[in-house]
Amino acid sequence: MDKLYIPQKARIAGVKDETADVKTFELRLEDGKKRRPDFLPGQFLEVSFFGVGEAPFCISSSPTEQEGFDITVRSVGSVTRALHTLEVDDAVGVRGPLGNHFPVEEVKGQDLLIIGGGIGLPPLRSLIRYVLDNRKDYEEVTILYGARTPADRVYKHELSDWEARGDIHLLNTVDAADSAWKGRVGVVTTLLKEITVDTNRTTAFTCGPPIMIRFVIQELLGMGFSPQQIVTTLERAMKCGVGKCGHCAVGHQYICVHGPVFTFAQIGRLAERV
Amino acid sequence: MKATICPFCSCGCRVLPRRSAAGKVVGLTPSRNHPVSMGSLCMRGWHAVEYALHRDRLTTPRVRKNGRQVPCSWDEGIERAAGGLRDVIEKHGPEKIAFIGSTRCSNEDNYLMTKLARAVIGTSNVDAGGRLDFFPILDAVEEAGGGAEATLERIEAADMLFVIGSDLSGSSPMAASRVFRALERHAELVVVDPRPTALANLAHHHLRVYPGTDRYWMRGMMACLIRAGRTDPRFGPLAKSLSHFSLPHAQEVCQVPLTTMETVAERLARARKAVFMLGTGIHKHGEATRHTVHDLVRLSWITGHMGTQGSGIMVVGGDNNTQGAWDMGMSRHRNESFPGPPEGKPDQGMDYAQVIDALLSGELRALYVMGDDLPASQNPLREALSTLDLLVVQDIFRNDLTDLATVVFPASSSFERAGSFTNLERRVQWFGPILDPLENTRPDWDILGSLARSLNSDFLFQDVSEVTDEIASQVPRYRDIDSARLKKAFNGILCAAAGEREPQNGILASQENEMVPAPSPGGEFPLLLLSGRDPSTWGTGNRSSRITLLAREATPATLHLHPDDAKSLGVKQGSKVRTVWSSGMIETPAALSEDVPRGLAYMPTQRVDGAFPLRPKRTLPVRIETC
Amino acid sequence: MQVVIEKKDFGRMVDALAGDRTLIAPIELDTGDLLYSYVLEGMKVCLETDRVPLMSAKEFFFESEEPLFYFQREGTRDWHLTLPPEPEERVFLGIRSCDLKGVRYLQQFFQEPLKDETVIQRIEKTLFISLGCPKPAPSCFCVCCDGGPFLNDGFDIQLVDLGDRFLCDVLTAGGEALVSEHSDLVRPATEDDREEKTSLLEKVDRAFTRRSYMAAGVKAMSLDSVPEKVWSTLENRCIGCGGCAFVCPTCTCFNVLDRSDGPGGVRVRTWDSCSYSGFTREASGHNPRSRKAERLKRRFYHKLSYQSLVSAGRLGCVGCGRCVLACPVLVDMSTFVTTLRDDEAYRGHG
Repeated sequence: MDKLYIPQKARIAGVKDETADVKTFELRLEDGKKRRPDFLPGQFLEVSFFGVGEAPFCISSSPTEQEGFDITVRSVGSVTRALHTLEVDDAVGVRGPLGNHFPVEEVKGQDLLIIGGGIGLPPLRSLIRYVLDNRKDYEEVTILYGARTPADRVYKHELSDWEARGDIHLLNTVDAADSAWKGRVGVVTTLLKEITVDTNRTTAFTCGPPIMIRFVIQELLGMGFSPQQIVTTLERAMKCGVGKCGHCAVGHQYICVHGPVFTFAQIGRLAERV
Repeated sequence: MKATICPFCSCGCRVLPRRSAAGKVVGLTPSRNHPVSMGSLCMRGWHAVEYALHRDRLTTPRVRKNGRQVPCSWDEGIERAAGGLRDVIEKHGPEKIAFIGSTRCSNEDNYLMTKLARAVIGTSNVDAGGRLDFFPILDAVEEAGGGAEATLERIEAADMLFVIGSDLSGSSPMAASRVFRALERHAELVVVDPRPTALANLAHHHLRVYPGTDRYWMRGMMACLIRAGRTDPRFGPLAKSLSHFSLPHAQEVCQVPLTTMETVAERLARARKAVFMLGTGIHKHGEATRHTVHDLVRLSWITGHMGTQGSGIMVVGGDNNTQGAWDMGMSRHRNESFPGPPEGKPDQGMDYAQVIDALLSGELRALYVMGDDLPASQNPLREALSTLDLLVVQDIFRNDLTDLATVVFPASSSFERAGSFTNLERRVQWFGPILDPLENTRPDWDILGSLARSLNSDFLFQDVSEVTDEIASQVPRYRDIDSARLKKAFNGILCAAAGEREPQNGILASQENEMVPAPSPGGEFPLLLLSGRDPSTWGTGNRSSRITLLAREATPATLHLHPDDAKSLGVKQGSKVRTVWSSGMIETPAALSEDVPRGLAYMPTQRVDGAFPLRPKRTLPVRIETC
Repeated sequence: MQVVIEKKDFGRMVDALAGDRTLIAPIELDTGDLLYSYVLEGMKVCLETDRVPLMSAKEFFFESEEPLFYFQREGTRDWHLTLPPEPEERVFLGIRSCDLKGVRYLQQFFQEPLKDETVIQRIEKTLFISLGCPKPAPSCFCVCCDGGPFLNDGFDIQLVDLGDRFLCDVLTAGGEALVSEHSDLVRPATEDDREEKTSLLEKVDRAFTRRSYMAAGVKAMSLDSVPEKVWSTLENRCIGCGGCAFVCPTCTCFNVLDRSDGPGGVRVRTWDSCSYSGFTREASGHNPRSRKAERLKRRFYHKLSYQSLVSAGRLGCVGCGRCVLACPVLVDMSTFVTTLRDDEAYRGHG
């Protein structure tokens, strides 16, 4: 079985509360020279809480950062609930990096339009940080982020930092505001109307709840994006994460091996609905 | 014999252990040379053994001391139980003690419990949970002389099949299997069910009967045939009793079109071999079930399908030993031919429902429960159980009932021991151990034996086959079905001789004409709730929830409504609703489906342990409220 | 090379194998069933081919349940793993051609694109003495799936039953080594032996009564032209037992779960089936294959086109016929492809 199913040890170096039910864990590998796996944005890890189980999480930090790597976890099932009980210096198991990655090489020299919804921001955060650390390789970078309510926004501080930067254009919105919210109100697709893009030289990346992705993609197509220019991630129930157990198989592809990153063109060619 | 019988439904598939390279039992494999399994299993059968290996198994006897339950030795537990029983007999008399056996325990377990109750304790208060669903049907079939003679082979060979009140694919999959094979041979299928089940979708005739009104279509069909002159003079008295039967009224009540009744009746009269599969969907209340079954037997009788070669009635959907438990006298309306244990008098005691009543009223002082899912989580039952002088429970898992017990005995699962089960064909089958017995557990019959000896009886059974042999000598139907024969009979031994049966004229010719009108729901509880079953959850799920792949299949309970009803109630797909009945309520999400007839609601009973009333009638008047 | 061993001498070779190696072979149970099993004292090795063993050979390589590793936690602060022992050498005698073909399919699947070392090692450390079937069972249709009853490769030794003797096709060095260990029991094959094999192959092909139109199935799948009525009929028959996946030599789906009772425990993988509704249900409750028809479509597409043809370049079915025997409700591969050729049978009744 060896490498395929055997987790490595990773220790929690930091825990941050993002929302009422979302935490970001900074992890560092032990038992070896490397503190983090060699990965590219978009890839994921299978993280174990031994005795409860294992679950897939995209890596939400960038490989360009030093030291550890992040996962952002929403408490929704038995494994995630167990992870949420952990503190700094606790140890988990990780396998990875798994899956494919965002086409960060292929889109060099292009404009990037990055649209995130709610808990879909984690994989995009990896991409955004990578791009920011390699800023001169990319042209215009526009980030649109929408969440249900202000409380549901993840990476609140970072979003403020990104908003303050001069070399990227960031717009925020929420579906429903609270009394403190001073920003835009409306679904994330409304933000698309406030920007101008040159679809000849832009690649769009979008992650979020399935229904949000559907509407975003619809809008993007309407704006003139071709299906090959729209990149998203697919989710399925996963177990082994290495293309053997069958759970995430769609047609002849495994989301954990041929994905989770797909262009909309590739999704159209998949044999089953997603 | 290194093979066992699946302990879930009443089909009784023969299963073999599947082992890992290390020799550990990791699953079950169906035997192919077996007349029931024939190489197949359902989702329960493939994984059944997993629950026996679950860490929640009870592993020590427990006894209540100073208000708390603590582990104890077997000797201490047995003595406490025996002493408790002696005290109650002395203070209150044996009629204040009741025994509840199990449709899931073996013939030997149930037989010994009956014998213990009647011959040693001196009470006839002995019954099993089957009293609430299957026993009344078995009673009525027996009473009418139309005993369950159908075998699975007969289903496959029949040219006409009725499936009445059962979602067969889930409740008795091997029977459904034979139905599909019969369809390949161009048999005609009639499914009687208010809802479209998988089988109904493939049937020639789907009678969407209004729940509890089956007598109307059955009598309707008889009336059609009589009036068309299709029945012979033998049935004169019956014909006379139906002379004023109003077909239009029947159509209105049961919602089966008259033309359908006529067509199906005619087809049935012409069929050479007809098999009727009967499930608990016909339940309405007490007497009505009995009369409904009698009407079905009458229908089979006048169409020439009673006791004739190739025809028959089969009761489907029960537990692995519903038939056996009933045969062993676990029934108030016992078969007269079972004389009971040697020293006992076969007089009638309280049945399951009456035992619950006596429990709630405080009349009952001691209760002995073997393998029953008595819902002990909610009051008033919970409180009543807590105030008994003695509550003894034998089971394999801890549950709300064992938590309340004075004495708990950890039983061995069927995989760890031997004995016999009787399936829906009346096939008695030996099962042998495929697992080592879990340490410190004992087979049910053995626990009862120890208890009986502690009460100074002569239960000297050393091996389960001795009990089997006593059954063979004491229970007329099981004559010659001794352990030596059973152990060699891999395919079991059919215990009812299939042959010509004489109808019990008294029953069949009797009028039983009083048709209790189907209580139409209204007023406070305007909808009728149908309960059903999801194949991944068996009973209250105490075993099936401990099987990984079955637990994964089971989804939270959902209330299904017709979109029109939902609209008028202001209920949307997925919204939370409260289903309220006279003695309780439950909150679940709602689902809209055109499969549910208007005026009815449907909830597959999964994970609603304890929430349904003690006497889960098939239908229940309810009110739906939005939350 | 080809050698011949008389059947009367064959028993001695089997005994020798059982004595000094770990031997797997079909044994006859007292229920009359055949089952591949580790051969232990008192077991009866049976090389009749009129029945196919209850389960396929896959459980010796990809087990029904096996530990991936054992774990021990120290609170939440630390943990250690222990790996299960490495696979050992074994001899698999009497594996049918269809089942061996299934094992080679597994070998390809578990090798790429990422390698499951345990499954691969188990296969590589097994010497296969396969058995070509001189007469098929009524459920068999390997001839329609390029899976038998005799193979040209994939085995170490192939036994061809010529009545009173076995002709052995010896393909590998491992096979040759075994033969030379028992050189006193074998003799070289003659032209007569070879001719008998040829006529046997012709005869046995005609003995297959079940002709499954696999080509029709593949075509219908590729053109996406299976009538909707077929799926809805199947949906109403299928009871979701998962049996087809468990008995199938080429099904590889599995579940992973942790079992523990305190700080120690084990992570196991167990067979699973895409027929189960819970197979694809996500933590949110969303299920992309919530309808049974969708799961059935998945199963047949997987076997007849996607995984196999697209990824592995071969049919995902070896024609062993076990699904025919294990499915209680006629939703097996053979019935399915035959139906596609003859739509009539699936029109349903109403």
